[in-house]
Amino acid sequence: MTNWMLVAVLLGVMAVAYHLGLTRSRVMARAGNARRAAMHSRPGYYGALVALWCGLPAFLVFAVWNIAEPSLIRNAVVTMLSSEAGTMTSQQVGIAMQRIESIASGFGVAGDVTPVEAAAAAEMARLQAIGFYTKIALVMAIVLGGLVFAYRRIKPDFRARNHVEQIVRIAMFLASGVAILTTVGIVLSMVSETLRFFSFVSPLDFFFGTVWDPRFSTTGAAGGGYGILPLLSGTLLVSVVAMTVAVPVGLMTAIFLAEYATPRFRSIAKPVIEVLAGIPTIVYGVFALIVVGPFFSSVGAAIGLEIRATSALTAGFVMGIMLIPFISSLSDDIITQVPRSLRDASMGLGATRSETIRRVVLPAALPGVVGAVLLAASRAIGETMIVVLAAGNSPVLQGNPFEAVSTVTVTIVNQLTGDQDFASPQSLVAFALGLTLFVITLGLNVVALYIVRKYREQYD
Amino acid sequence: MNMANSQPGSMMTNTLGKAASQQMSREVTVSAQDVKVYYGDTQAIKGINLDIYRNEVIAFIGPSGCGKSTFLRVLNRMNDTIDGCRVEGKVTLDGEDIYDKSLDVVLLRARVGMVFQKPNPFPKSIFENIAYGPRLHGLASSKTDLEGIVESSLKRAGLWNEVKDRLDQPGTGLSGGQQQRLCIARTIAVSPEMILMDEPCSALDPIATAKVEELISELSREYTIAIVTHSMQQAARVSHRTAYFHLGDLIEVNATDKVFTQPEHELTEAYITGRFG
Amino acid sequence: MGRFPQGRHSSAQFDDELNSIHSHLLEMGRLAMQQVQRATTALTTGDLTLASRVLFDEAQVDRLEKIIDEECALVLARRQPAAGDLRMLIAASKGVADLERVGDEAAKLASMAEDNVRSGTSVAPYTMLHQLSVPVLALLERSLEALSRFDLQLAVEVTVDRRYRDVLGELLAKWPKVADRGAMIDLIWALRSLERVGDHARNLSEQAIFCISGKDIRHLSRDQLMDLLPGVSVP
Ligand SMILES: Nc1ncnc2c1ncn2[C@@H]1O[C@H](COP(=O)(O)OP(=O)(O)OP(=O)(O)O)[C@@H](O)[C@H]1O
Ligand SMILES: [Mg+2]
Repeated sequence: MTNWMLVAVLLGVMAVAYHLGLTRSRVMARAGNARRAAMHSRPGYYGALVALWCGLPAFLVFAVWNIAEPSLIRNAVVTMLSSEAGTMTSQQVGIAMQRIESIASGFGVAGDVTPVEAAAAAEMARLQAIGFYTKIALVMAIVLGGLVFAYRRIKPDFRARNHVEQIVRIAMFLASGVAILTTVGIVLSMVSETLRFFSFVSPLDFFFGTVWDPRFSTTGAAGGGYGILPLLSGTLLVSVVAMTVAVPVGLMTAIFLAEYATPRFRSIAKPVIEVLAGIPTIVYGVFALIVVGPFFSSVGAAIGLEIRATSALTAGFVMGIMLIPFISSLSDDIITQVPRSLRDASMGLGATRSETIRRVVLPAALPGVVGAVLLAASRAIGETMIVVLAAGNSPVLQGNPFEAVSTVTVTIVNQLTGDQDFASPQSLVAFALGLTLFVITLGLNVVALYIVRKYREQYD
Repeated sequence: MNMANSQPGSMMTNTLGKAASQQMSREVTVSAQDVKVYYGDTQAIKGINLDIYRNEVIAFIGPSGCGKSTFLRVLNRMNDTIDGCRVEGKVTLDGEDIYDKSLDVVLLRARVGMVFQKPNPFPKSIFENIAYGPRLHGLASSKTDLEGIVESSLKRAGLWNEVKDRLDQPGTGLSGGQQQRLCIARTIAVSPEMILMDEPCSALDPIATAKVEELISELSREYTIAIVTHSMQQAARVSHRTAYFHLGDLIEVNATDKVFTQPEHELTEAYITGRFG
Repeated sequence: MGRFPQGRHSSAQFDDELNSIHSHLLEMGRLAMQQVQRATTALTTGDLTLASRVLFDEAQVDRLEKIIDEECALVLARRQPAAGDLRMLIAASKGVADLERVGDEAAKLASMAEDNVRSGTSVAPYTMLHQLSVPVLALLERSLEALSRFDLQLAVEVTVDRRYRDVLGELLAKWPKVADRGAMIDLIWALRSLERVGDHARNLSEQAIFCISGKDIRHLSRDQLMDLLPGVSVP
C-alpha cells in the first residue's frame, strides 16, 4: 500500500520535473538572441530528460530495495532466532519464519505466541519500519539529486533530444531482452531437468525404447520402460490423420475463397471460417469425445470395422477440423499474393480459370502452401487438449488409426498430474518429452518459415 | 505463318512496309460498334465505333484513365475476368460476334493474344513459358513439334540468340526487355491473328524499347497489332493509325502521320502537344 | 504569353521556348524590313551613312537567324514537339531562311548605294524604285502581321497578292532612257532585288499558313487553294 503511494508520489514528481525542464528550456530559448538561436532540441525533450533523470534512478533504487529488503530482514531475524532458540533444520526455520511474518504484519496466527516468536516479530517489524523510512529518504534524495543535476544541465547547446532517444533505445532493448531471456531460461531449465532425467534413464533407452510403461516407485528409482517411440508413433498417427483432413479441405477452401468466391461471399465466409480457429481446444475435445467418437464407432460397426470411440482417428479428425482455418487462411493469403499479372498472362493465352489455377497459381504458391502445411503440422504435434480427451491414452507402438493411442503431449500431462515428487524420474521424463517435442516443432517451424520467406521474395 | 527468320535491314523494310500496308486492301479484322463498358455503375467507355484493319498497327493514345486499356481488353474479352465489368455493343472478329453466347472465349484468346504493361513471365523455365500456350491448346503433337514451336516463336521475337543456351533457366531471370520479348514470344506461340499490347514498353529502358518497337514493326507483317502507349513518339514510330481516346470517347482516328502533324480535333492537338489539363 | 491559339502547355518552360522563337522571328522580320527600307532610301537619296548603317546591321540579321535556328534545334531535341508546335518550328526555321535572304537583298541594295555615291553616279533614275518598294514593303509588313497574329485570312491574302509584280511589269514597260549602261544594269538588279523581297514575303506567308492550318499551299492554283482552305476567302 505504502509502496504504491511512493510510486504515485514519484510519478507526480516526474510530472513536476517535466514541467520544470519545459519551462526552463523555454525561458532559455526566449532569452537567447535571435542569431545564436534557441535551444538544440524542442522544449519537450528537455522536460522529458529532466523527468527521466529525476524518476528513473529513483525507480531503479526503489525496485532493487524492494527486492533485497525482505531477504535481508529475514536473514537478520533468522540469525537472531538461531542465537536464541538454538539450531533448527531448514524446514523448522521456514515454518517459524512464516509464523513470525504473520505476527509482525499484525495478521495473527493460530496457537500461542511464544516469547521468542514475539521478540523476533517485534524485531522484524522494527527493521521493516526502519527499512521503509530509509527507503523513502533514499528515493527522495535521489529524486532531488537527479532533478537538480538534469535541471542544471539545460543549456542551449545541450543535446537533450539525443539523450532522450538514447534512453528510449535502451528501454526498448531491455524490453525485448525480457522475451528473449525468458525463452532462453525456459529452454535452459528444460535442458537441465532433462539431463537430470537422463541420470536415471539412459538416452538410448529413452529415444529408442519401444515400451512406454513408467512404473511408480516410492524409492525414487526409475522402473518400467521409458521408450518414447510409442508416444511418437501415436503423435505421428494423430497428426497424419489430422493433416489428411485439414490439408485437402483447407486448401480447397483457400482456392475457392481466393479464386472463385464473389467478394461478398468471401467477406462473410472468411471470418466465419476463422472463427473455427478461435474455438477453445477443450471444446473440440469434448465434441470429439461425445459426438465424433461414438459416431465413428457406430459407423465402423455398421460397415464391420472395429473402431474405438477414442482413437487416433477421432482425435485426428477433430484436430484436422481445428486446423482447417489455419491452413485455409494462410494458403488463401499466399494464393492471393500470386500477382494478378500472372493470372492475366495465363488467361490471355486462353487458359480457363481452373487451368490457370492448376498450372500457374498453385505451382507459384506451392512453396508457401507447403510452409503453411508445415506450420499446421507443428501445431498438430503440439496439440494437447483434443488428444487428452479423444485419443484414448494407450501408449502402445502400433499403426492402426482405429485403435486408441497416446501422444507425447498427453503423456506429459499424465506424468505431471497427480501426486508426484518433481524430482522423480516419473516426473522428470516430462521435461525430456517436452524438450523433444520442442525440438521437433522448432525444426518444423524453422523449415516452414524459411520456405515461406523464400516464397515471399519471389515476386519482389 | 512461316516467316520464322526475320529479315535483316529491317529499318528500310519498315518504312516500306508501313507505306505498303496503308495502300493495301483495307480488310477489316475487328469491328467495334457502339461499344460501351461499365465498371459497376460507372461508365468507362461511352459508345465507341472503330474498325481495325488486317496487318495494321493501330495505336491507342490518350490521357490516363480515358479507357484505352479497357477498350483493348474488350477485344479479347479479358474484361470477363474483372468483377463487375459489363460490355455492351457489338464487336466482331472476322465477321464473328465475339460476345456471342456460342463463342468460346478460350479460342478467342488464342486468336487475339495479349501482352501486358509489366513483363509477366511465369515463374517457370524459358522453354515452359513459351510451351505453355501450345500445350494448353494442344498445338504440338510431339516433343520435337513443341520444341519447333518454341524455337520459332523465340526467333520471331528476336530472342532466340540470347536465350538458346539457357532455355531451362527461369524466365524471371531475364532482363526486363528480354522478359517482355519473352512474353511476346509466348503470345506468338499460339499463332494468334491479332496481338493486343498494353503499354508494352513502359517498364523498359530506351534500348529494350527500341528492340520491342523493332519487333512490333516486324510482326505487323503477319499480325494485326493494337498497342496502347503513353509515348507519343512510340505511337508515331510504330503505328500506321492512331486513335485518340478521351474520357471514354474515341475522339479521332487517323493515319498516324496525320495525327502527329495536323490532328483534326483540338483535344487531340492539345494532348499530343502537351497542352492537356 | 499565351499568344498561341492552342493555349498553354502543361510545361510553362515549353511555352517560353516557343514564345521566344516566335518573338525572335518577328524581331528578325521587322529588322529585315527596316533594312530594305533604309537601303532603298540610301539608294534613292545617295545617303552614304544610311547605306553603311544597313551594311553594318546586316550582321544583326544574321545573328538572329543563328539564334532562331539554335532555338528550333533545342526545342526539337528537348520536347519532341508534335502537331501545331512542330509546324510552328518548321515554319520558323523555313521563314528564317526567307528573312535572311531579304536581309541579303537589302545588303545588296545598300552596297549598290555605296558604290554609286563613291563613283558619283546620279540618283535620279533610282527614284522609280519607290514605286516598287512601297507595295513590296507593305506586303512584307502584312506577312509579318499574319505571322504575329496567326491570322490565316491575312496570310492567304498575302500569298495571292501579286500586285508588286504588276508594278514591276509597268515599270519595265515604260522603261526610261538611261544613258549609263552600267547604271541601267544596276537599276534592273535593284528592281529584281525588290521583287525577290516580295517573293520572300509571300513565302513567309505560306509558312504562316502551314503553321496555322497545317496545309501546304505551295504551288497550288487559286481553286485548289479554296478547296484546301474552306472558310477562308481568297481574293
Ligand atoms: N477494374 C476496374 N474496376 C473499376 N473501374 C475501373 C477498373 N479498371 C478501370 N476502371 C476505370 O475505368 C476507366 C478507364 O480505365 P482504363 O484502365 O481503361 O484507363 P487507361 O486509359 O488504360 O488509363 P492508363 O493510361 O492509366 O492505363 C478509369 O476511370 C478507371 O478508373
Ligand atoms: Mg491502361
